[in-house]
Amino acid sequence: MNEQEAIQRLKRGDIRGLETLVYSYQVKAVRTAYLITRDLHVAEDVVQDSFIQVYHAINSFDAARPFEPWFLRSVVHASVRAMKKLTRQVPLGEDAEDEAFAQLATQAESIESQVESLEVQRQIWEAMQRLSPRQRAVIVQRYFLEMSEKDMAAELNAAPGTIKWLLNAARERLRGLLERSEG
Amino acid sequence: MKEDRMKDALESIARRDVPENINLWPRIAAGFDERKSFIKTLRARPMMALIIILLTLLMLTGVAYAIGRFSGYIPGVGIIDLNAPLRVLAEPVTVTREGVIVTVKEAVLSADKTVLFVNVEGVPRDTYPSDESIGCMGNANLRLANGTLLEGGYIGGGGWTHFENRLEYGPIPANVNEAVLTFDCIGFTKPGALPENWEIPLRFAPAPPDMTVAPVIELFPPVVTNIPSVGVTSTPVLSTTMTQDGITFTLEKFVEVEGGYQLYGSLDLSGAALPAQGYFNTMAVIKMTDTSGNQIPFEAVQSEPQDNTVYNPNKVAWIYRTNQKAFAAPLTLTLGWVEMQIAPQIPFELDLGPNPQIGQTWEINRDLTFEGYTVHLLSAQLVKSDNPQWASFLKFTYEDKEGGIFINVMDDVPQKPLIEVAGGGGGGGGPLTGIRLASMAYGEIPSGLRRFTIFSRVPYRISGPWPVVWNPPSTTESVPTSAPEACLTSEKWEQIKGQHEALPAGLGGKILFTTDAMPPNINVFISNLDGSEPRGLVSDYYPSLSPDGTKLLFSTNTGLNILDINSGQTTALEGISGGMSNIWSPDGTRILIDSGQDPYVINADGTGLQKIETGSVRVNPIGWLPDNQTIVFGAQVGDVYNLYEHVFKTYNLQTGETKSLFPITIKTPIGAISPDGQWIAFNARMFGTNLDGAVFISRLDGSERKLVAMLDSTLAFHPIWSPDGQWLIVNVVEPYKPTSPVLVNPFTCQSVRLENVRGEAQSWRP
Repeated sequence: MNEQEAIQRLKRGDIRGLETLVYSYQVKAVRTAYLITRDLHVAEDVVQDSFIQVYHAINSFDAARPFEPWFLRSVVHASVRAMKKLTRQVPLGEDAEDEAFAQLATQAESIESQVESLEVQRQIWEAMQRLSPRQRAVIVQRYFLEMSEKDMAAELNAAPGTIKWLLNAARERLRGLLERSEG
Repeated sequence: MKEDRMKDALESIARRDVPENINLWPRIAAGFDERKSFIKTLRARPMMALIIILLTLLMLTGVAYAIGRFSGYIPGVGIIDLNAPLRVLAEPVTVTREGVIVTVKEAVLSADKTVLFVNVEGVPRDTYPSDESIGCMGNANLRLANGTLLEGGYIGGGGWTHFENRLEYGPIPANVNEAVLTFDCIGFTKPGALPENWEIPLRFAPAPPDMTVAPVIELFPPVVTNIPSVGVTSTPVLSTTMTQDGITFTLEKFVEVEGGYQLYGSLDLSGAALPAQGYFNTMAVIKMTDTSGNQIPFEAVQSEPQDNTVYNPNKVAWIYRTNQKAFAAPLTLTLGWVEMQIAPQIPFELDLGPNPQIGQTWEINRDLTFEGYTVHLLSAQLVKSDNPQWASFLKFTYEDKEGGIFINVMDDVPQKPLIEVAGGGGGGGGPLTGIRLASMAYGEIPSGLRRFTIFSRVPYRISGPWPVVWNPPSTTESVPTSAPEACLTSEKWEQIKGQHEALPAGLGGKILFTTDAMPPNINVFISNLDGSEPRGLVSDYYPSLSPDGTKLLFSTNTGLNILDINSGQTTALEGISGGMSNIWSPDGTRILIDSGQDPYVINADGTGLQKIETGSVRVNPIGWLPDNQTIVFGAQVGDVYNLYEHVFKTYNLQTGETKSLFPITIKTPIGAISPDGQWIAFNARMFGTNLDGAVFISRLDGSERKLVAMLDSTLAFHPIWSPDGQWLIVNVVEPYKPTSPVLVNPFTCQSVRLENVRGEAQSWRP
């Protein structure tokens, strides 16, 4: 059974259509959620709920369009929402978030100039952990899911201010780093 | 393009920590039947028609329970803090904008929470996105007069034209009796398609005097009961809490609800010697038995938020519900074991030499044992990467001796420039204890002595038991007769899955089964019943084997196909698509085609397509009667929203006559007709089963129903009959493990696991 057939099945309320979609997209979805939630257990719960949401929302989905981006964006939303519910620690202040984000952008430079070891991954991971869930969503959408900035702005539902500013700032910095590297 | 480098890094992190072999489907399937709509519950039992539970009628059985003086229970709202007077909505408030009607119907304000119930109607279906966008969020907040914003709710129905939302917030100060519910939009609709920036003023008033809140019976300090009859000789006295091996299982409180009790408790692993490397996906299996050892059915309550006010990653709260109030008390809740998944690591070295070449292979032949689970590492081969970004792959080939064990390989000190650490591996190779691959990508040709870390993901079990005791209040109701136990229970499953038992005498034939491998890898196999001589056929999810075992019906992107198994020739059935539950007639001349709605019947050569008008919105084919003229199917009753009610029906292709057999409660009817047409095996919902229901057999009129398989935390589904109609294969799916088919004789209850088949049995032929 292909994806289109699975979606058509699902639109008719047949849960087995969802089964096909689960097997097709669960790994990427959990990885997306994991990068935002940093907790495999939470990530799996998020994706589980997202698939159930798919079941309920499938009638609003145009089966002629690709399913994957539609679904993964809902996973991003759900991950951010889950983190808002689960976060128990004192939120980082604005300054701390900026600092972490800047550090992450610096890691992008590291990748450009070195790209050499697992240590880079560790450092990126640590930098990401200092970001808020929404900021992590920005990074994941841009670099893991390769969404365009336009799509991200539409999808993130971010209040004007911190998130968008940080996204733009990070992109500018990254672009500058890339241009220098290519030059 | 170099932004891809960041993507690569993130992918590496994700691949490292999130293995390929995740299988969420059992949990999702479980969720569907468990998520009995809260909305439905509310509709059936309006909140204000609360259960009246008078304390004076609460007769306790010789045990001094502390009634929770400060907390109570309201269905739909949950447990609430009564330290402040309860308040409710002074009156329902409705706001209508451009045909969208939003009504705040009810509210409960307690000392610890604020819960609103909001009904939304009149959302046109075309306001939901028709492209891939997810729509707006519908975040809903409560704004108080002093500007305080309570956040956490959202309004949205995901594609539905009418829906209800339960919104929960923190408490509103006792002296604040007004608030404004604000939300930016109707969630999931297209931005701008409907009115936005909603504001609905609310007023609150003291709860009416006749509003009854069920008392919450606290079991703290722990209540001790002497129950020598349970046969736990070392602990003749049990408590409502038990700690052993650092794991504490506690029944904390209970509340009487309509038709039964809700029990609240926790499982605390804080003191346990947990794997140092971390763990995830913890599961625990709990049983409830009465004083005679009879099992008491209960279910987890999903619709009620659990108490997570104090976040503790090692402690989980649970809520269970019974469907009876009279018991042979006391009752024992026993936590049998706790199982989690761990990712043990093994260091490994391989000398590639100074000048390795693409195509070069290194024989390894070494067992790697991960906490008792062994894979056999066969070899490594250096192959050229098809991706221009990478120069080479080092592919490790290993044999999964246990089934369902995947390994990941990481180069500890990768040579520059490492791009990606890829792990997992495909399902290539055999269907049983497969030959699998785990690969690493390098930016160049690796050489010299390489040091790797190989890790896997295996189960880690801490065995109990941890029994706790509960004395429910006495009642004048009579104790219901215990339902007969299933042939295949959790205990039986635990027992047989470790055994190596020969097939019962006289049993044989061929079975068709599907494995967990993802297309395009072969995942449809045919083998002898004992799993020997497996042969990969095609890649498909829902194949169907002809009665004589020579032809395989399967679907591809272009439609249905029939594979002649002997010749290998495939014939397309032109003009037909779909078919997830397609069933051959007993004589092999026709096929019942599943379309989700009205099914079709077609000749095996692709001619004579006939649509069967059933009058039902959703139809699931079940099988044929021996006359080759009568089909059996499950038909949904009522409209498309009535998901759980179905009825089994027959339709005679010659006469056009339809007969109703009997109703069942299930989301998706699954079943099979015995070869003699006398019995039907099927999955149906039953209180106490947490997944897609239990497996039953009955006569076609529903009589002589017998429970065949019911497992606690495990899915038993998709029964298929043996060619002689005396045995069933029931497919058992444990979370995170491959499907295991089990032979069950529904008449004698003899059960044997098909230990050499790791997949879902689809057909059984002579």
